Amino acid sequence: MNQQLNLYVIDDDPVFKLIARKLLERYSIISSLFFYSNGEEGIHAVRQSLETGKSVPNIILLDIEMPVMDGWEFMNEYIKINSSLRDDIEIHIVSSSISENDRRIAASYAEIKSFIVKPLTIETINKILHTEPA
Amino acid sequence: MKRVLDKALELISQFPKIVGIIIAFLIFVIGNMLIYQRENVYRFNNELQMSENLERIERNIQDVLAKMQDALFAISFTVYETTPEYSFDTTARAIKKKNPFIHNIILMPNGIIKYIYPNTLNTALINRNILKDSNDYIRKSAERTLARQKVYFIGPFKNADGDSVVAGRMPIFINNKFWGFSAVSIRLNDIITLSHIPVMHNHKYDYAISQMSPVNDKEIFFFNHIKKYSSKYTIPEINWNIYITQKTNLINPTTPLYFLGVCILSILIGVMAARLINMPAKLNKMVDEKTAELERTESKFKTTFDNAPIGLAIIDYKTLSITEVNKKFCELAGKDKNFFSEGYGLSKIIPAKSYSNFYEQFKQVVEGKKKYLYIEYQHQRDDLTSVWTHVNVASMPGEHEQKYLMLVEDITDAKISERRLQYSESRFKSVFDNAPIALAEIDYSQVMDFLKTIGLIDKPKQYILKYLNSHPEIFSNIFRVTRLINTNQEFLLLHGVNKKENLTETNFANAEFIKTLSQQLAAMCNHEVKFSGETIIQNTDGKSHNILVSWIVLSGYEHNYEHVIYSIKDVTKIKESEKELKKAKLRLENTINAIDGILWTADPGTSEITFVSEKIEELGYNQEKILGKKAFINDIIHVNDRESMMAQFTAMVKSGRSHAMEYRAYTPDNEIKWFRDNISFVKDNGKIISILGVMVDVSDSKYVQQKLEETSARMQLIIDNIDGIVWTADPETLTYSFISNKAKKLTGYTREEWLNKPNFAALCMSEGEAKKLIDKCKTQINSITPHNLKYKITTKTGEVKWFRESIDYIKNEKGKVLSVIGIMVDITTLQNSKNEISKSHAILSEQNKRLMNFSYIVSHNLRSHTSNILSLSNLIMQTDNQEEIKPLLQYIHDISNILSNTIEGLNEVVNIHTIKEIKTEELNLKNVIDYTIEVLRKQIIEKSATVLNNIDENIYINYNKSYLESIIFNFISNAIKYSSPDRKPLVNLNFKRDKGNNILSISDNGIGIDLEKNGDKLFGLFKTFNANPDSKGIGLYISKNQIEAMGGHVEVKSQVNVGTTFEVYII
Repeated sequence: MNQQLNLYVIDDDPVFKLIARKLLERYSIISSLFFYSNGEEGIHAVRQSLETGKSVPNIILLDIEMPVMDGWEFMNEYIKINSSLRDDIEIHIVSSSISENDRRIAASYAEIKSFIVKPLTIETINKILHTEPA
Repeated sequence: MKRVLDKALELISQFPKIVGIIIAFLIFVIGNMLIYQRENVYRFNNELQMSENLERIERNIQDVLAKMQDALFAISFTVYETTPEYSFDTTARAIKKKNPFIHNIILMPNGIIKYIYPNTLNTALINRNILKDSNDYIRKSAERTLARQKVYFIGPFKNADGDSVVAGRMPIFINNKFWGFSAVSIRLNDIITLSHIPVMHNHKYDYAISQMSPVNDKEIFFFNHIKKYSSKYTIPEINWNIYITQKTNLINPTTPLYFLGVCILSILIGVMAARLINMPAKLNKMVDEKTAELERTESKFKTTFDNAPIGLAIIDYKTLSITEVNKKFCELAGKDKNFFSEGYGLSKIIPAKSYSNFYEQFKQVVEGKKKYLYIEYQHQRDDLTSVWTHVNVASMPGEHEQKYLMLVEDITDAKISERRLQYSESRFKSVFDNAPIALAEIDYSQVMDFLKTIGLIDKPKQYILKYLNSHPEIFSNIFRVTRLINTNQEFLLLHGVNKKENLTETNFANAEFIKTLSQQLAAMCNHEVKFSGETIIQNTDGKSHNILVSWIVLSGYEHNYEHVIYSIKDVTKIKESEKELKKAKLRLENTINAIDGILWTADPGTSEITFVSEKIEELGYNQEKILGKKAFINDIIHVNDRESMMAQFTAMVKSGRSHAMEYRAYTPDNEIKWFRDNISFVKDNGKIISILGVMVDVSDSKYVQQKLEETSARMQLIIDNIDGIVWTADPETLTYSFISNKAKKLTGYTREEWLNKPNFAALCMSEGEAKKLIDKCKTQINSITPHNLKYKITTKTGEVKWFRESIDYIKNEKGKVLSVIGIMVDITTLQNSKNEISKSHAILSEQNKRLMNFSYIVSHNLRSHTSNILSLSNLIMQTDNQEEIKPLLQYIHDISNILSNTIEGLNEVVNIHTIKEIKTEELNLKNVIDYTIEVLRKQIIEKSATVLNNIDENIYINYNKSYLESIIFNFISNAIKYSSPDRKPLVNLNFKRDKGNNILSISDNGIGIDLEKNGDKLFGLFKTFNANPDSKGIGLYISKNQIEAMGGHVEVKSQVNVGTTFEVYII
């Protein structure tokens, strides 16, 4: 996969964001990496990128529990703009929730590709990106 | 000459048997003489035969002897030979060869046996001297041979071997000097054989041979021995005598037959001769007997003629006069015998008016045209008595042609009877014709014949009926051969015809008539002479008549049914009236049976049942058995009812007034039934003539009545015991018609109080509620829907009770509502416990939810922190750069602090829930709030907020102090924390009491919460609703838990950007 990837991380936990940055920076395939603290910021960024045509994300790592707008609310907003996308965005839930209910909800969205339980590891990222760190 | 012969013949004919015997004897003698002659010839022939036989035998023996002599000579010559031994042998062999019958050949020099041929034999004989032999026979014969000096034959004798032999010896002289003997012997058997003596015993003759003994010259028989002989022949050479004799004294075998033939012949001829001689004598005797018989007959005839009981006269046709008369004739004529001298004219005897008729018929008899004549006439005798006579004439056989026998018979009596018969017949005829019943005289003889031909006579009636039934074609034949002799007017009238010839088969050809006819025929076949039955005939106009048929066979015709008097009687009308009567009776019976009850009548005097309708059988009683039963009542009436019933009955009979009684009675199956008996009296002139009762089975209604009573009692019991109120009401006006006793107990209001009000709701509910309930109820009742209601009432004593009411309808068969029925059940206890249950359910589910929430939060928060620590430590381990590690370690430190706080908070929450008994005290609410405000002073000043404690200082609550302080602290700090940046924060604290609840309210003018979006998360642990980084989200969660631990709850009202109000319910 020679394509360069744009990747968004939407999570309110600053510690997680730091960890995620440290891990993802190791991959050369990722050309740009953006962090957002809640769903609202995230969906705003997606809309913006669509309008400008710049930095449209290929992959989004999405937390569920967030203030202002949580992961599910983000998904509901995302569905509304989904049709205008040229390429589908791969959305992966990354949460510390082990609730079955959350898994069920995640499964009800076709756009969600996988449900990753924290901590985020190199192995998981390899699977998502179909590659290994450079 | 002829006379002599005749006389002789006559003489002979007098002794036919003797003559016969003589003739037979003569023939016998002559015959026997002939037989004798014949026998003689036979015997002569026989003797001739015998001597011939003897001669032949003698010749044969002579032959043998001659041969033996030749042999002797031949052997004797060997003596002269030079070698005598050799010559002997060769010669002897030659002799033997030539004459094989020779037994042996011997040479005996000087009488001593020296040479024997064949030498194989008799070696013992060698050197035996026959001249000195001890055996006399041998010695003597040898001496005699020597003495005679020539061949001498002897024998038979027994030789040394014991064989019987015949021997010839020859003395040999050489130079006249005795040399010795030669001898030749032959076996006796051989010589006998050669002699051809028949030895067979069945031969006609017996033979015997003897020899003269040389010892003593006695005759010795060696072959047979016969004393009597017919012929004898002597053979001198050997001194033998040959005898012959007939075996038995044979006569000619045909002689006995001849003798028998002669005997029979002589007897036959004798008998025949005797017969022949006897014939004329017999004939003569017969003639004599016939003559005597004739004489007797004549005299008999004469006597008969004279004494005959009928008048007889011999008349002459030629002269038409009387020749001879008998006594009766005279008597009938009333004349003396002498009166009828010969030639008395017939015309004088026979009355003139009958005479020509007589003459005419007589002439015909004479001419052979008629055998008899028949004339009847009456004539008056001299003594004036009148006599009827019947005259007949018959020819006299054997008499002169012109003589006839006239027979006159007295038929006066017969004539009188006939007259009488005619009279009675005419009388019968008039009776028959004018009889008021239909009569017919019928000849059934041909019917009988017909029945006989088809073989029905004497058959059992059943069989006949069956046969006739299966052969209906017979009846037309029966009708055809039934001959109607006579009918009377009535008979014709009944059949609707005017002549008997007009009667046709159609009058009778109906099934009913055929049926009866079959029975009649069966009766006839069984020789019954009477019949009566019922049947139907068809009038010619087609009208049917029921008739009674009866017939009787006239006496004397029982054997052939030739005269049968047949009578019929029209009973149509009787039948009809019978039918009517039956109908009327049936109508009456039906009427009686139609009465819904058993009709009975009884005799007032004896109380016997005189009538009881058939319906009684429906109950199982026997109608017949009950009739006439006096004790009927006692038998069937229930023991307990008997006495009262009898008393009532007696009183009733006394008063004579109708009365109805009810009583129990037993059916034959011992079932008990209730009856109502309506008894009345039938009176005639005031006197009771009959008792009439109509018994109705009221068991069912009695049963129903009993059941009803039972049911209502049971209902009452149930109603009274039900823990509820039963009422019924009119469906139109809805006013109560019944209220059960429980009303007072459950509501405190008496029945009267209930009934005074239009409905109970008005009694124990507020006006509004009552109206609502009644309206609801009315709409349901109008649509006739059974339904249930549940409501609360206030009893007379002010108690609140819950009731459930079921309302239903009592309808008639057509579905019309007769009554509304309601059952009110007190469900207060039930309702209360239900409330309790729902409350505890709510608590339980709240707790459950809390628990779920708690575990979720625990897992989420703790996990997010631990996973971060895990990731950070991983990063640290993978990094060598110390500069990079430093901030990471700082992060781990921070997270550890947060984790510690979180666990502390959780601990607090857990504590709230694990403390079983929370310590409470009476607290002044205003004071507690004031204290908390003081604690928060710093924040309040920072935000320039205003917190208003509006609570009355007299309000005290029973609460845990630290909980209360924590709760108030959390809500106020929360209000300040989420204050709107556009306004000056304002917090108001208030208290109110509502329905027994104490409520503390805290309201602000902050940013507010979108309850629709975040309502469920509001009191969740660690949930924050905004991006405020300070919010830890644990405060509200703890407060909520504390409130609930104290038995209360918290409610929230909020409007985004306007403000939020929390209401804390304090128990």
